Amino acid sequence: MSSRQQPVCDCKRRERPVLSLHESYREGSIPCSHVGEGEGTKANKTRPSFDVFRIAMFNKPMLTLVQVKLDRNYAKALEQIDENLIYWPRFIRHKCKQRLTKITQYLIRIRKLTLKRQRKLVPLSRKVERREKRREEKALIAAQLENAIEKELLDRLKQGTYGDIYNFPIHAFDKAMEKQEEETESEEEEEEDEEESGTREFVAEDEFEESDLSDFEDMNNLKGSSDEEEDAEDQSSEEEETEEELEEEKTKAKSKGKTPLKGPIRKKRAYVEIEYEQETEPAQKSKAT
Amino acid sequence: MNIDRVRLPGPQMFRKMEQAEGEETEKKSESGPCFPPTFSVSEIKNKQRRHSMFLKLKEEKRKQKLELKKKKKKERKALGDKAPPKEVPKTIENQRIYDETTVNPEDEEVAFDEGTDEFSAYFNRLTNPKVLITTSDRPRGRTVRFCEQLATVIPHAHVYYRRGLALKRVIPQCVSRGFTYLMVINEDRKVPNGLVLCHLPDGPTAHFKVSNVRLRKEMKRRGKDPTEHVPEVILNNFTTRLGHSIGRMFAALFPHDPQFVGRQVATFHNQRDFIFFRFHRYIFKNEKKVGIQELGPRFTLKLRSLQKGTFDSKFGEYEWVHKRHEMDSSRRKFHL
Repeated sequence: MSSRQQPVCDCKRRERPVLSLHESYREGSIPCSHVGEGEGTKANKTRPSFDVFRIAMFNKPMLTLVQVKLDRNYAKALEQIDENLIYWPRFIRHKCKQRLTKITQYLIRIRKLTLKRQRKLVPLSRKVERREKRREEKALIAAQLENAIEKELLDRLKQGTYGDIYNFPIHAFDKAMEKQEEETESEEEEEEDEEESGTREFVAEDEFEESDLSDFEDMNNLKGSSDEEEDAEDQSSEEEETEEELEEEKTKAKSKGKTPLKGPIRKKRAYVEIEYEQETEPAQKSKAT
Repeated sequence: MNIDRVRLPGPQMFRKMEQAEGEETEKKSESGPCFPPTFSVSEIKNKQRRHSMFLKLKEEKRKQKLELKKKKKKERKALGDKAPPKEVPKTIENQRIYDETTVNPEDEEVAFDEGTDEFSAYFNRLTNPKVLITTSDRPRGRTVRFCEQLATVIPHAHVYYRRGLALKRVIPQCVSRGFTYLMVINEDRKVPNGLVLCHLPDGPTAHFKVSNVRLRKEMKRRGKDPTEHVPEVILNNFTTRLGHSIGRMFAALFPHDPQFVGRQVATFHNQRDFIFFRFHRYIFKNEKKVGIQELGPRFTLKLRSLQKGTFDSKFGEYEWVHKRHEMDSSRRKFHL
């Protein structure tokens, strides 16, 4: 007993289930062996004439089916099945009803899903993907990222966006020295003032450094050197701070090989170190407590 | 003729071929390989011999090139100052088709626009960025790890699991909790491949294609994990108006005042419409040298579309959409 479903296409999926009966059965004359439920848009298929009908009955049974639209209400539809298939075996009727149940359930699910988020699948063109990948590789090579980043950072350093954190730039140092000289000539202030104005950078770094000792290993050394230069000129108020840094600097300088500094600074550093090693070591110990 | 050719031993056969071409055979007796001009290597049927001939041809060409170079160099030296300037090789960047929307630094209109657009609140220091990072449904391990690493790179970033929520519902919730950015990382086949960057109080939404994601443990010679310091931001090569707005979008992800103590820098470098993201730690060795060490994830982005309002794929107003047939027709035309 084949129960065939009408071929269903997407546009018809939401239509109501339809009970298709063999036309001959409707007339009650010829016992029909084909009953199908399915979905169709037409309520009635056009009835072919009787001869054609006879041919269809034997060659193309699908053409002889009559569709009965079932009610939208699930319970009523079940009753309709019972009415229309009244003399059919119980098993067949049961199977029809099961099919109806399945259809209604999946229709419900479809309607629910369309309300939720739909996942949109976007097809990737392999050719395009390959092309983009290649172009990306070439762009990466052309970009020379490390160089660009380094250049940008150095530019920022020169412009002074980092302010007074980094102290080694020779140009800035020279400028600072020039400033200092000008100020001594123009203002003739006390030593303290000169130092503050000329070496303003370095003072700020002292304070800064005390708070953050861990990060600046390299910085410390260079700062230490600059601090020593200050100390060579300067006074007790700053000595304590710089002496602490000196201690750090010595320990670190011995442990790590430092980048070679430019000429003038190196000379000054050597000069100052000798002085300090002789003079202030005992002083440091006392002040360190 | 054919039979004759078969019977004759090799070199003679070769000579015959050359003769057949109508060329001089004297040159063959010389030590260096010289090739008569219309001789083509592809006509030798024997593979080994063809290969060796080809190599000799290449040698020749290389020698000629070297000689030419030497000659030019000599001429340059001889002329000294009067020498014509060195020719700059053509690169794609050189040959780029000029884009009318390229921004001049002094452009007033652009400055005015930027003063009043959606990012002006950020750039006027009225808001602090707060970023929500999430993924598409059911993210796989790689995407999850990528999200976590992004959250360490971007300060004030929170990662939340997307549990099937619709973005349109997520957005009002984010706005009410004070988020300024929503980042959704889309995943396909266990790999992150898309990024939707949505500036929240109805700001523009940018959709990118993500590629070449490298997580932290796949990086060679990387440093320790990034600290909590606010990194600096470098934005390179964002020249056109579109590029400018995208650049501002990226800049607004990070808080204003970078903590130079941390010495970390996040770079968005645009090259030929690909935006490369890198995260480094730098250290100044001296005033002319800086060392950088890469930490953190790296990825590349390619802009697919820029939408005016918040994320709305159906009814949104698109400022810019990448249309392949119009925009990819020329290799020298870039949009960012």
